[in-house]
Amino acid sequence: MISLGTAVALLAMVSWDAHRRTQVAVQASGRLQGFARIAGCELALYGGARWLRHPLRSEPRAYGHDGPSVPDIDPGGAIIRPTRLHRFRVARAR
Amino acid sequence: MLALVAPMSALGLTHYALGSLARHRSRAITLVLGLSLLAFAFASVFAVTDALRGVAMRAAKTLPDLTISRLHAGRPATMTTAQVSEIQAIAGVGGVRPRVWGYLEIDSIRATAVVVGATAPELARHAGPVLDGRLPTDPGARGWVVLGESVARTFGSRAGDELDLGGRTFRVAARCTPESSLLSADLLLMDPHDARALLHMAPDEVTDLAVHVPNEAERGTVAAHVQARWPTLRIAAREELARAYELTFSGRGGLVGLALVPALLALLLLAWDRLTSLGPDDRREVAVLKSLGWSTRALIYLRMIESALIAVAAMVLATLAAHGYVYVLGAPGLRDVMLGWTSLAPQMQLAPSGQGASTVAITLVVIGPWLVASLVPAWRAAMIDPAEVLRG
Repeated sequence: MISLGTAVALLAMVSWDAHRRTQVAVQASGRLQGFARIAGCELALYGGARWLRHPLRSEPRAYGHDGPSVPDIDPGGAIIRPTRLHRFRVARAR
Repeated sequence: MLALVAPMSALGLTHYALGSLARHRSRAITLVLGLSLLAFAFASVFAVTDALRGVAMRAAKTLPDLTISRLHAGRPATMTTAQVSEIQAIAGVGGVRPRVWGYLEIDSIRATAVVVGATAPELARHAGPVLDGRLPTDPGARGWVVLGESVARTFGSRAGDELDLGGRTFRVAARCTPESSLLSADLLLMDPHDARALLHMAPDEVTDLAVHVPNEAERGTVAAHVQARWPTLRIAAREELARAYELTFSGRGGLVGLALVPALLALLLLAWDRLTSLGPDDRREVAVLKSLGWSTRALIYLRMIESALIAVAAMVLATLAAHGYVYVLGAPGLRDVMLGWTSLAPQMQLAPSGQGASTVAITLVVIGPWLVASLVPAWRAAMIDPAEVLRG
């Protein structure tokens, strides 16, 4: 019974914390609405990958290419960062 | 499952199952830990996906109803303001806002920034709360720039500094606050005339048009009208962008989740092996219970209740661990895999979307298969002939 009570209490705490975090995020997005109307609402997750920075605006019919079982036409961001050697070569080439 | 047996029998079976799990403590703990570890991995992936989807969906609410851009040779191209007044005159159109924006490669920080044209009064009116600095009060002022959060961090610039961009010198009027990082990380906001000059655009050139159509029912008609009048224009509705984001993040989450499927199968195989290989004590227990009058159905229920208790314990542990890992610690490691590496990465606090999607998902992906996988071993254990076992 003690274990059950502890589990229920912990789950309730997690649920409350999740609700609180959601509310904070909703309020923050409300504060950003005016800014988003001017600067654009697309997420700045992939600075270099234009298709993902502005999915609709940078790639014609991007939304039409995307769908279940359709491979990403331009996957944004690398899973691992470029090596120093690569950066050095790029810098030297420039 | 409990609904299939009488309430008192269900309670009795649950009590007996708890006792049985306590007697086989090491096996129960191993299964709970294994299952919770797997459920935690899935729950973390689903939680990050859910958080990103939530952010994108909230942001998508501020999109223009229709975004109109020009295609040239199948590629997006800039357009002139020639169509603005004609589109504005279409019945149902509430407003048309020409937008100037584009990409700028900045060699000094080896990053691509997004240049957005906006007048100082416009910014002051709409973006004041998220700007740290002072915008020029003169509407005609030029040569100022507002730096996105990551751009400012990377340059180490503050309001009042001077900055060389694309061979021009700008005064940093303000920088975006970290709160806006997810939208502003790679932005350079400046007067539209400066933005055009920096992007090498003609004075009447714009990147696209943001069209406001107040009546949702008229959006399709307006889009069709524009498309028929100017076939080279591309019209994108707000819902299409929302869908593109939804699919992008769901796709990424799905790919990472897919990598965990072999682990799920391995665990189910292991659990199958553990549950089907009954030791002499287990067989004797079943034989004694059957000889005491327990039916095969009751024994199956007993084993299923044991599996369900293990699943519930694992799910509670996984939910607690995933919440702490994703929302409190910020999903270190997994976040990099899900978001990818980028030179101007935004700062962001992950928060649940509020739809409880990750809890439902781990129940379907991990707990469901676990319960199904334990059904056959439960049936096989219950089919033991008591006479044969008791005779030895």
